[in-house]
Amino acid sequence: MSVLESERVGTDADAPGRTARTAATPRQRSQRNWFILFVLPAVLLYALVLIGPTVFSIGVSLFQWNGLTPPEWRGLRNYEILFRDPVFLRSLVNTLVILFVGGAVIFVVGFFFAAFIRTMRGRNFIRSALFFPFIASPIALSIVWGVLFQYRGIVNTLLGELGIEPLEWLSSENIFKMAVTGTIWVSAGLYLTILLAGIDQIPPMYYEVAELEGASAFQRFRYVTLPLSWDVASVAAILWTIEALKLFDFLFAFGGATTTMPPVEIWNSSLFVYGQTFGDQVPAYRFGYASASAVLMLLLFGVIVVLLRRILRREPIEL
Amino acid sequence: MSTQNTAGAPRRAIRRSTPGRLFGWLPRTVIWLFVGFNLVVLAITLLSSVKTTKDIFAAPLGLPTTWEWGNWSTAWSNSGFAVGALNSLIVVGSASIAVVVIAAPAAYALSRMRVRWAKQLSTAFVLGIGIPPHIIIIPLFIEFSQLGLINSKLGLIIVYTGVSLPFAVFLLTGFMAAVPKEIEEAASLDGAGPIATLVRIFLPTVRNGLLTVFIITAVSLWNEVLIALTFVQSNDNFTLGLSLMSLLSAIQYSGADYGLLFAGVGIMLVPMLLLFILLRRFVIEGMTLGVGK
Amino acid sequence: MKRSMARGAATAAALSLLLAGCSASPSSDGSSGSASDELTYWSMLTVDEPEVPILTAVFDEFEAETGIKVNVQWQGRDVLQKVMAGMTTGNVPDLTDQDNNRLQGLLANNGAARDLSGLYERTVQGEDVTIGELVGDKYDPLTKGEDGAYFMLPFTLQPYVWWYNGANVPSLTEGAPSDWAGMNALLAELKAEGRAPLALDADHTDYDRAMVATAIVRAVGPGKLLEAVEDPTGEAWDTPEMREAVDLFVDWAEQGFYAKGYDSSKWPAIQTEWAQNKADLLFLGGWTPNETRGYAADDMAYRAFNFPAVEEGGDTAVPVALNGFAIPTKAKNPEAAEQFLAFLYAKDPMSRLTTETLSLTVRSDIEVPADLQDIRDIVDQNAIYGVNDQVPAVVPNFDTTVFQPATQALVTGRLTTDEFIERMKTEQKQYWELNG
Repeated sequence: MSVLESERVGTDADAPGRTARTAATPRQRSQRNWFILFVLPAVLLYALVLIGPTVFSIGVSLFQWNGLTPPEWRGLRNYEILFRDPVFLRSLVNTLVILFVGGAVIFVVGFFFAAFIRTMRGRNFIRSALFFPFIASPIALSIVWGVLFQYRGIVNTLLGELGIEPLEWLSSENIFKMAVTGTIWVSAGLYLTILLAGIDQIPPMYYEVAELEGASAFQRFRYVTLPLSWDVASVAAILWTIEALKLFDFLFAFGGATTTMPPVEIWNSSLFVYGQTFGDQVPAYRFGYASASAVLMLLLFGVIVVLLRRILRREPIEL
Repeated sequence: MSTQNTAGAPRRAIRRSTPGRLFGWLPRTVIWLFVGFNLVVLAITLLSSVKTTKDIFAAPLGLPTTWEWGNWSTAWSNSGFAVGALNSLIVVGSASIAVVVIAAPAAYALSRMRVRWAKQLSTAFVLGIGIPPHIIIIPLFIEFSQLGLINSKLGLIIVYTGVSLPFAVFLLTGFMAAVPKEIEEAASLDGAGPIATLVRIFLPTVRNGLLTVFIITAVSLWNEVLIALTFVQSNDNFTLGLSLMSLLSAIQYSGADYGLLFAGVGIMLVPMLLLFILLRRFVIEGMTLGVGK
Repeated sequence: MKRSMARGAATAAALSLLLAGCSASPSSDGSSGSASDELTYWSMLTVDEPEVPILTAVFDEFEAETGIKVNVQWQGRDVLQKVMAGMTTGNVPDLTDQDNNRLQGLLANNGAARDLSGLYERTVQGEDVTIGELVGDKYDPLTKGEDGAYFMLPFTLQPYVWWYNGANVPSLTEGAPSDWAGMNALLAELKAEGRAPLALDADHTDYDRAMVATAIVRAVGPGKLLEAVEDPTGEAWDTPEMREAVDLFVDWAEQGFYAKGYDSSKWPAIQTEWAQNKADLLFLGGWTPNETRGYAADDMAYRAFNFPAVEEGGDTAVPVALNGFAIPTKAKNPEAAEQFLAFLYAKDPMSRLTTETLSLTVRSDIEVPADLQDIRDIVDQNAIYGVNDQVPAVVPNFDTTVFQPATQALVTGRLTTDEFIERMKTEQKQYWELNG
């Protein structure tokens, strides 16, 4: 993620660090004091709520601990077991499917839609309507998603009016696909919006020139839209990575009743952590093991973000 | 535009190609279908909230045979949504304001002040966006128990503020960095100190950014369940999300009253829907400016 | 952590100045109360459930009688997670309730449940009988911990039985099947009449596993399923008895005995259909009448029969879950909590709960409504054992990640007997290698 920042910070200050070290003028010292004052509340709260607990969890991942009795040292054994645990591996695969397959659909559809919505009538209305699932509670959406697609649900009822036999959308073979589809539905609007606004920043002049040169719709997309909204897209891709790895509420409420875990078919890494700690009927409280899996996901997140930045980096396009 | 971008496009006469039109017709239909789907879902949700369970499944898109306005009042008074709404308003409102108030000066300092560690600190904040709530919830619970902040609205406000900060700082840093240097220089020539520069120059300039951060924080906290589930113990501190979970479990254990459930969903949805309709320009554009800059 | 805690305090102080006006609401946990003028009860119910108004009335009567106020929080089914969370800080209720599996797995096994032996000796309010005499020793195997101390007081019983509507399947009221051959014949007969013989919400894997586990226990005997599960080699699954039980479900799925869409609905869709006479038999716990009567057909007459023995004269013990009360060891007012229970177990409040919420209680001397008469008789005439042979209580993680998914695949017809046995052997062996 640090690469993200390089564009943002120090755009006008080449090497502030070095200047400060050689000679701290009174002005610089005063600026440093103001700096500390401004960032201190955020830093303190950040440390209290996020950093402290994360460090604590990294430590706990080396122990066997149920939260009640004293922790037992395990070293890296939790991590070793994780890589042999079929439930974890399945959760990991599911997470990656949601991330990459879901992500591919969201971005392909997003770009595709965005390129067309740009010139459509009622575009503001379209934008708002597509954005709607983002503001609704994922729990509520997953309830609706279930009511829509269950055997005697609303979709099958409507299909019935067309004379189509009811389909088994939610059978255990299909339920993960439906969960991924639901996730795409819920998330697509946000990324579409971001991409669309990125495309909006492209001066119309370029499209005019492209049309004058006889470029087809696809060519306009390939040679104007795509390169000129690439930066926005890559930030959106990183946001999606975050959301996909954290995804919990929708899957949790979609898969099960409120007091039971959803079936393991749809577990992702977040549900795995929950299942290993609070989720079960008689909760497992395996905090060490669960923390180890969470630490792995945090590492994976770092790796994916770095890779994404590598892949998505392009020659800067001068406008 | 650089020549490389059009290098592959053969020069042709100026005309709109027929395939292009065909190509345009299909996607537009698909887009409207997608829009239609979302509107139908919204309509089903709101209509179902004034129907009986039987009506919901007999005619999902039809008007109710009897208008069950009682669903809303039952959810509101019997199922604790009134208390939940008030608590959510207090907790989410306070946390969202706190996020803006704390993140704005930090983002300003990180993006505009030439100080050692600024860059590393920004990176550290961005990393925080990726920390999943599950990894922090257990230690956080222990920590907050010792501070006596479990089962209190204040405790929940602090946690909510903390978890929302990284993204807020990230987004606002983008807005602050985009403010032209000339404006800042003019202010410092006037002899304005950092606080005056921040308050009089930057905050008004990035007004939309502040609003965006506020709304995005509010929306995601309004719908948050996992942290609330762990940190709230007594019914009088329930948030709306917890009321909905509680209702969902109750209808599963004592009869499937989907009308009541949808009324609960509606109570949770409508405030955000109104907020969004009123301020959607800021959310949509702000999100982009913040991310895209 | 220490440093961040100090910072935390500073931040908290800063924030509370910032957010003046919405400071922490005073705790309603009654932790400051003197010895026994109040008690805190965290309930497994949520505020919308039918028991709530009745219990609320009992609280008021109790307060009028003794001056002790009951501070109740309707926490819902996750109540024990909250109790456990409070253990580290001492913020626990004086009284809580859940089923025997959870109370044992979470409270008793962690030494967090008070020994209720004294409570069993206590006389019920206004009656000449002790609580222990009322409850009897029938449930002791499920309510006593390894140390022989009572960790819970059972309150309501949930026997798992085959439910049917007496008006919908009148032939059954004259005699239910007593062995598996009879059961299969009944199902085939119903199917031949063009009906859907079996209702099952297969997405609720808890229910799939309960049905399969019951058949297995019938075949191998109570206690033996748990033994099989605890076998680290997994070989214990490969026996003729196990195979016979598994065959039953392979057969049922093949014959298409289940209601349409049982594999692709969201619970409680299929049980709703059952209640509306669209399917005939439902294997579920004693809560069924209470849970389904809101949407049941007008002619619904709740009837039930015990899961048949494999062969005439075989084992017929009833799989039972108990809901009941426990007092955390860290409770501040345990005496008041016991006093309340002695009040609650009196005939009058128990009768009200039985009739108004259709709950079968441990007081077998209370007259039950017709809807509960069958399960009252089934429980009184047979031995009992812990439903699912206690597997979810003893190895919850195995139950969720191995056993339940396998039983779901079995009842939805995606496994043959060999495949099921093989899957259990392999996955169980793997499980114990990783978690042994």
